[in-house]
Amino acid sequence: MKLHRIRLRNFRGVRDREVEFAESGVTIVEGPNEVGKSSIAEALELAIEYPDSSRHRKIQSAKPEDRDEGPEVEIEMSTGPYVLTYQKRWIRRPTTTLNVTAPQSENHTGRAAHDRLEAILRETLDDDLRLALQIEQGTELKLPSFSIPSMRRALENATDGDASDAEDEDLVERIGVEFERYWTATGRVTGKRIAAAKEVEEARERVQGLKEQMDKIEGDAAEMVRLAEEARGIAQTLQELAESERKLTEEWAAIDRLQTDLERIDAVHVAASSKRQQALGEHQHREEMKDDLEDGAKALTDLEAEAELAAPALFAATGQSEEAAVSLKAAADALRRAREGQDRAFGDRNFLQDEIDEELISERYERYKDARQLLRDSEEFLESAKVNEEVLADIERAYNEDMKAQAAVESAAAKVEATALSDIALRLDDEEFELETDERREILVEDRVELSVPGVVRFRVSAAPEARVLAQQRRGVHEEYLRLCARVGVSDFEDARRAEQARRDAIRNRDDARAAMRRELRDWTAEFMASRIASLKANVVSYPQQRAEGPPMPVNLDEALRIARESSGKVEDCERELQVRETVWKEREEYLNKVRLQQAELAARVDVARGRQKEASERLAAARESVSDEDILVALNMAKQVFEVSIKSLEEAKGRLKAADPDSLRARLDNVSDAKGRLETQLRTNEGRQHEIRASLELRGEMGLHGSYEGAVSRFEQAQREHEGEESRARAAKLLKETFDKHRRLANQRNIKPLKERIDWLGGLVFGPTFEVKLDDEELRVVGRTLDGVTLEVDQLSTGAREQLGVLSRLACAAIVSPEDGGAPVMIDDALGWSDPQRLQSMGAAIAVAGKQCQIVILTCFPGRYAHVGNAEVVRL
Amino acid sequence: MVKFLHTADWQLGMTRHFLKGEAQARFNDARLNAIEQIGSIAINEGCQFVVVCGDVFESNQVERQVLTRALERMGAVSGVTFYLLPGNHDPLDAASIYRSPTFTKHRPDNVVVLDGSGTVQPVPGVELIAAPWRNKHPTTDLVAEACRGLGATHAIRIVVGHGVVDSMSPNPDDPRLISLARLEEKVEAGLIQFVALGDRHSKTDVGSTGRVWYAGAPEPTDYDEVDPGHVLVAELDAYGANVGARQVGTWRFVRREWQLSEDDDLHALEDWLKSQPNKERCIVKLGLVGTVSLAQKARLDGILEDMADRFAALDAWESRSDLAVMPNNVDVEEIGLSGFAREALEELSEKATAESGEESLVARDALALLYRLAGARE
Repeated sequence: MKLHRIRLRNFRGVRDREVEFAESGVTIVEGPNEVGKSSIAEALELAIEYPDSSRHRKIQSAKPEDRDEGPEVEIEMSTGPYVLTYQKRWIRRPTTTLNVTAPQSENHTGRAAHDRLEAILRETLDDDLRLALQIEQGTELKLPSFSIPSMRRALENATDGDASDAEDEDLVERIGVEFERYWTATGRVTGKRIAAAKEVEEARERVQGLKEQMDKIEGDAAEMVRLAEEARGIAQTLQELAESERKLTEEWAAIDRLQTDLERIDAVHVAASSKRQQALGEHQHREEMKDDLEDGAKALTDLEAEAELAAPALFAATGQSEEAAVSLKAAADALRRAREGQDRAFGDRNFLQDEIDEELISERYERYKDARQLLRDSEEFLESAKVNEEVLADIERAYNEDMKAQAAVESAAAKVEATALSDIALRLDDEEFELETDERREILVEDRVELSVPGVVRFRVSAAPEARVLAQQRRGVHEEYLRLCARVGVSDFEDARRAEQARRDAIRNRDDARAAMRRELRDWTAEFMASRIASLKANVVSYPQQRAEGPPMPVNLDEALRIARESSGKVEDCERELQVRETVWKEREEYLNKVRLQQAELAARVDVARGRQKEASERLAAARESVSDEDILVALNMAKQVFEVSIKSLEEAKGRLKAADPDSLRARLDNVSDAKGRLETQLRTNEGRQHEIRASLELRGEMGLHGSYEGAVSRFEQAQREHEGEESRARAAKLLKETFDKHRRLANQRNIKPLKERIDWLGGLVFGPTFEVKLDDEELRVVGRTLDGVTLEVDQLSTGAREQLGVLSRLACAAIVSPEDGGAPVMIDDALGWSDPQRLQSMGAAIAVAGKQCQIVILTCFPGRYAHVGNAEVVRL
Repeated sequence: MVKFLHTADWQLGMTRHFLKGEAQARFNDARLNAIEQIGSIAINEGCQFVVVCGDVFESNQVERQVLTRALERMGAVSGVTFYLLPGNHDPLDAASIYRSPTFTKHRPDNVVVLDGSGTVQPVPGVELIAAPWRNKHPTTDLVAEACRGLGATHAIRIVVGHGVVDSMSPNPDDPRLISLARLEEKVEAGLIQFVALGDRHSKTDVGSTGRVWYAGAPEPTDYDEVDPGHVLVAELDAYGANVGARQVGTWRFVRREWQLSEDDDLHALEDWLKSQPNKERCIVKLGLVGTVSLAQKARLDGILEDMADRFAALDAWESRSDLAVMPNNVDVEEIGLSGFAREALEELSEKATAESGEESLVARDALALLYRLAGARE
């Protein structure tokens, strides 16, 4: 679309104004706001949009306020192959006329004219693009998206790609809609599909559940067949067992008879055995009685011989015992005497030791007392001593000061040296003195003196004034020195030093005395030492008086110690000897007692043996009186014979029973009985189980599960079919969408190149050669800018830069889409308000350059803002 | 001389999962109506009784409603007794429908179960030797067992059995097979006059005697049945058997393979479908093979969609179907894509022509979808 001319009559503030637009290039329409420069854009909009009959608010507001006229617009334009003039008036005498001059002449009026224009524009103009290319004053600074069919087509043409059209976009949208039937926006399976899958699963579970119930019935029916078969088998076996049992019971009766015989024969045998046992017992008893009598006689003879031999042993043992008692007593006496000797030796040793101790401790006590006196004296002295190190130092300092002052006085004072040439009397102030020949006297004058030879001459000598001052000062120092000495009672420094030495000596004495006291006392106290001395003295005095008689007192302590040691050895020897003798005596005494006891016992045993022998003899005689030895022997032989016969019979009976094998028969019989019992139990269980299953089958059979099961299978299969269908449709929709998205993305990436290059080129004019934009290939929108290697997102740019990018991107876009392919003019309504003069200048150049490739209409009320657009046609309203 | 009606395999209560909605109900009704039809034939042709040779019911667990309705239909046929033989679907086991309280309660007098407990005489001079199934897994030839020890008689003997005869079985080691030779031996010996069999759903004259027959199912139950939809009317005497088939079935199972590549093939398929009589009682399975364009696929989908409601069922014969959908130039032009959309179309076409695999199938579906979406904009 290309605008050639527009005429506004009675449109807002414009009474009648016509603007002709440059064919290609830039048209700047200048005029203050109220004149209606923006009305041009608005009039174009309204003329296309609203029929002449419209009473729309926008139409109403286009009516001039000061007169009753209908707003009117006349536009001359080319679009696609069409060249036309379109006129429209609203409100008052509404009219619409359309005169098309190319490609064919056609004229329309009224609604037909409106509709025809609409159709022509629809055919030739991309309205989305037209709107995208408009920059309205004060609208937001968002950068436009050029993802518009005509733009895409133009870009595809520019890149030799196949052109896509609006219908492709429409298809993409449908694909999107189809995709969303099965997938969420984030590509997840929709809830509906998840629910369908769950439904299928539930249907499968229902089928499974019913199948299990059916199988259970089938299983039970099969189990019934098995149970019936089993029951038949058991009954058959039971019958066979009953027959076996009958036969075995008959066999058992014969064995019972043999058993009875055996029991009878066994009873006879037991009786014979018992009788034999009795005869054996009687015979053995008689033999024992005879043996007893014989044994008793022999034992008595032995005992009597033994008693005769025992008497001499007792006599010998008594003698030995008495001898040992005498020896024991002698040893005890020796020990007593040795102990007395030991007591005396110990007393002597202690006495001599005490004597020595008393002497030594007394000496220590004396030394202790001396040290104690020295300590007292030292402490007393120290208490009264006034000079110490500190005081001495003070005095020393004062002394030195005094000496120094004295020297200063001496050096400053006048010196008078008088040497007698002959013996002479002199007078110095009030002092008179004499000098012998060649005697010299030196007089130091601190102040002034008078030296005279009385009656002859008088010299008055005065010292210099500073000598007097020094003398005065020296006196002060000297007095201080004297005061310090006097305070501690010394005459001078030397005296003080001596006093300090005396104090130090006293301290050393005190410390020595304390050490001596500690050394002498050790761990004793003085009181204990004194009492110890007294106790030792008392011992020394008393012992000689109470000492037992005996050998004389040893000559010294060493002798006493030796005697004490010897006496202790002797006591120990005696004690050992006594112990030995006592052991011997005890052994002999014990032996004596034992011999005595043995003899008594032997005598008793002889008595007892004699008594028994007599009794045995009487008993045997009595027994023989009752039954003779021969009778007993005859009875025994008889019983033995009867027993032998019974054994033989018993063995024979046992053999007969064993041959019949009762154990084996019993086992077989028991086994048959057990098997019967077991099978009967099994049969009862079988019958119970059959009964149970029959009842269950009757109940469940009546439920008619087959229909439910088949119905469930049908529903499951149907649900599964539907679900699978849905799933394959979902997969197809996904693949289709992904494939389309992929190719669209690739195409976008290819296609945006010319647009980017165009913007970069225009931007280069404004910002310099390093300028580059970043485009969103989906949206075809500027999203970033690189300048001097620094890339910024659009949001990070200044308002001015964003506005400039908006203008540049529109210029580039308009230049790419030709008016024949749906292109439209760039309409700039007072943009670039945020740009500085320098930027306005370069923007002007960019607009001028772009104007060579597309139509640009600038509406402005700031004439200076676009002064730099070189080739513009300027129209002033 | 005796005249009776021989039928089998009613399979009452059978469900066909491919039947949707009311079609299953009509399918069920057809099976019950067949009982009436059988009754009418028996009465009209003077049959003295009816033997149903097994699988009267689809299962011992069929809904009791099915049982009561069947008994009612049989009860309504006055003067004719129905002798029902338990077959492999409805064996006379502990769960047998014939021992159920409902059966006992609702059994009309003219319904007798051949439980094999003894010789049955439906009319004087005629003996039914029955070989019922007592469980689902017999281990012997039940018919041979029932015939064991048959001696000479003046009565006309009819053996009523169910199962596969050995001459028709692909598995000759199956111990349950009915020995045809032994039967024919007895027929030749004059010990048996007729063998009425069930289990095979196709009407079949077995062997060479003309006296051993499968009646087939009165209403078809599956695609692979050769000649279903009949009952047999048999006339017997000591000299021979006269067996005639009577049409009873109203439903059809049709299965057909189609090669599709040209538009004409689609026309032919459409015409064939349209030409099928009684579509509401016709179950069709189609095996579609070949390569079609997007447009043809869309058209095929349209035809099938249109026909699906007219037939009782119209399903794909999955094992025999291999239809590839490939876009051709006409498709591409018709869709009229350009630019990136065309590139996308080309990529999908490439994927779709890949030899096999899940991806090529998805790509074909995606192309069909694209065709539909692109077509929808016009």
